[in-house]
Amino acid sequence: MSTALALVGLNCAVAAITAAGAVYFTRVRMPRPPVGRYELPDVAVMGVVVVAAPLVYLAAPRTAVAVVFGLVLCAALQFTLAPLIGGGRAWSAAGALVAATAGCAFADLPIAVTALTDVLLAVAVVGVANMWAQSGMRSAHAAWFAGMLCCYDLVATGLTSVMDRFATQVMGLPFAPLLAVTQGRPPVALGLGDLLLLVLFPLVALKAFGRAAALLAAGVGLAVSASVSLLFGLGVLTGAFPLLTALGPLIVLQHVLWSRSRSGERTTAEWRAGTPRSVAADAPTDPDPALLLALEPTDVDALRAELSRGDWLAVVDGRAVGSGKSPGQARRDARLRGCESVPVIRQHWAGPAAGETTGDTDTGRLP
Amino acid sequence: MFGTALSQLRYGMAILRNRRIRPQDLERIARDLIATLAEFGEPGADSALLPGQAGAVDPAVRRTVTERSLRATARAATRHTAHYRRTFDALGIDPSSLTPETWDRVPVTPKEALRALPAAFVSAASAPALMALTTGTSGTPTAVWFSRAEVEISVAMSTVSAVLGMGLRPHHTMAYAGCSRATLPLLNVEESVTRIGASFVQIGTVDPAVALDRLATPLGLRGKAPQITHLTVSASYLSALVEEAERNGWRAKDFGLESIGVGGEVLSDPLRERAAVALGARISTAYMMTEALPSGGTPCAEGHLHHTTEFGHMEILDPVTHEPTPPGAVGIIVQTPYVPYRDCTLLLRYATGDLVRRPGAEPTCELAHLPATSPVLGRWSGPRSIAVPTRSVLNLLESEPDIPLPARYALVDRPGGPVLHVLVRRTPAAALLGRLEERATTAGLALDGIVLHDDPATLPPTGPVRADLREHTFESVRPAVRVAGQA
Repeated sequence: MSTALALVGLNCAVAAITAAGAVYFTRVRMPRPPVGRYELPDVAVMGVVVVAAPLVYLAAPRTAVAVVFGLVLCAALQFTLAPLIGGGRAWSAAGALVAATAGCAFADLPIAVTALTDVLLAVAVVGVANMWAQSGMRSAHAAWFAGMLCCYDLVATGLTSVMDRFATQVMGLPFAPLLAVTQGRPPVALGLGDLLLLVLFPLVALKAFGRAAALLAAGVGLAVSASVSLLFGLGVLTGAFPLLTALGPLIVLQHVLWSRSRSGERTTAEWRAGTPRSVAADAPTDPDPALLLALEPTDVDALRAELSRGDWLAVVDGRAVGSGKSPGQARRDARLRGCESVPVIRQHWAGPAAGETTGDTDTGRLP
Repeated sequence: MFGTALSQLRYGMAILRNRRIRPQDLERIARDLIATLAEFGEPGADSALLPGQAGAVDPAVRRTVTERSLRATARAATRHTAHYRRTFDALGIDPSSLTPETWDRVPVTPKEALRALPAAFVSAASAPALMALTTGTSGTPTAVWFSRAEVEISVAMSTVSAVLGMGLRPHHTMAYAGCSRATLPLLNVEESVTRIGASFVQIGTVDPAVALDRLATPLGLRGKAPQITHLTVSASYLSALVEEAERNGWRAKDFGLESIGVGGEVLSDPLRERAAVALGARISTAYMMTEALPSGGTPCAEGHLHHTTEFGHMEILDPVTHEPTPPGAVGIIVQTPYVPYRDCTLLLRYATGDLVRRPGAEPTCELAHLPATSPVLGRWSGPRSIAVPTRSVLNLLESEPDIPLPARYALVDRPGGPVLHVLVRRTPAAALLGRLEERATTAGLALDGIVLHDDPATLPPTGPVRADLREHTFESVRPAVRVAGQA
């Protein structure tokens, strides 16, 4: 397979996995814990795992690495498929796929191993991204995660040989954390972290800001992936490239722009309810118009009540609709006079007009 | 999520090992529950397994946990409290050998023992921080000391309960119309309500007219329901509110109440119905007492009171012999609140004096996995309190509009049985008397007669109720009374 064709295939696979993630997100409701949601410390924990994993794997035997990844992929496959086909069948399907991959490895069928591993990886990434997004991961969390991975990828891939050595160690292994199309030198492949963030951020953006943000996030991700592929195709890039170093800042930028334009993010409940914007962002912070109108009530005389200082008025839309010797009695009087809504209750006090000082000597005004 | 999981793990380990609970862990669980609701709009499917939510537990696991909890509580009480050190030494009981089957070797602790010397029940290893006094309607309040950790644990559990049990949300406003000196419940309600993001209003047991006025007054706050939505109140004070509402022209639509939680006293069925009509709210009642906190009971749809097994061990015993009460019979609730939920005032087999009837058959309701009794029938004060329980008398009296609320009555013993003296609005009231006598007979009340009074001065001494703990205010919503000579 030519490198150009492999690069096109890789980007098509990324697009397909991103789309699959979005379809899963909108149609499948994953179980969630009774208490808890995604928080910033969770991002830190994930960061530690991401940073430590390659270092641990580099020190571990290849067989051990394959076994660990096989178990992780099996579990991820199970919880991804469980909402679709049931928990028991999901275990069977996951076990069968993992066993088939391991069998192909023992039978020395490298192309089959790569293809099956890619399928396992794609399903697992769709599941993990959905689990995070549906567990309340916010755009801010994704941005922190992307920012952190951006720095890490620069160090591990761009400035040191950690990821290069890691890719060399796991290339060809069953369950390798690489979406590989070819295994040449360099291989046409995408790392698990890159793929996860490419799939994850559109989902989080969809939940937090809506479809436009999700499409933009997916488009930006694919554009970055395609641009890097193009540079490889043109021969500008020849070795491992830190994709997240390019993608991370763009995710952070998108988060900042969308957050500012939408004045916040939607919660999972608001997303499921189809609320266009965060309710908190739309919560009015201006004084209640009903209270503003109640400051200078009209139609007090129409009540035909003998009001004295300290009596209470029920006011609706600026009109007095009831009165009483106490707040509750004014509210009840409003009801007796046919007012169905809950009025504003205020004390009867002819306060100073706007701009008027309190230095006059009129009687009948409370200080 | 990792932080929440860690807190839940630590809490679970503390329970399994009967070690000290970190209040921060429970606070974290409560805080995360609120955050979960804000994010997802509803609690998760397994919320019934949260602390105090009465989820079903495997019976074998429950028995093991019960045995370990009883032993741990008995060990702590024997090591650190004067009362139980002397009791166990005198009887030669090894707390580590106790099982649920041999638990009856531990003598029942009468309320009088705690009342006489509260310090004898306070663990020497604890740091007492708050003295909670019971209402003391019997004349002498019972003092119960709580540590800071216990108070924090109690607040966290109240928060979970308010979110899941009462459905309290940030747009709600809760009013507390219990006694303002009841520090522990007041603290619990205020803290849990405001932690949820809801608002809190302290009313106290003021003139019922003032309380109703406050409940009817619109709040005018952005993001909040227009009026007070939830009310916590004692049964007798609720009856005073109903009396005021019914007699002074209040209608349910004057209020914005959604839920009224009643506690501390027996809530009769007629009062529940009248309150729901007068105030337009759902009336709920649960069983909880200061001494046994956080053990308590939750009503089910079939009318049972189900007692939690998570926080304490509950027995129903004969009030005199302290033998187990057979199914269908009436006995008193005897509670042992567990360590580590309690670490300050430690009580083993505490006789609450609250009378309940054991169901004749096994319940089949949604809480059938928890021990069930009838709702509290009254307080044990002798054989007459079983023959003529408070609940039956209140069911008889509180359905009659011609009897002012709270119902004032006295039972006076005569050779043929007790005579029920009742304060009514006016006499003669032959029709009312006829109805009461007929309904008392139908209910099987062993009364020798009923005497109506329209003057409190002629009524034999009646028992005090919580509504009598009237708090003064400077405000008045009643028409001013013209004092003679002032005009």
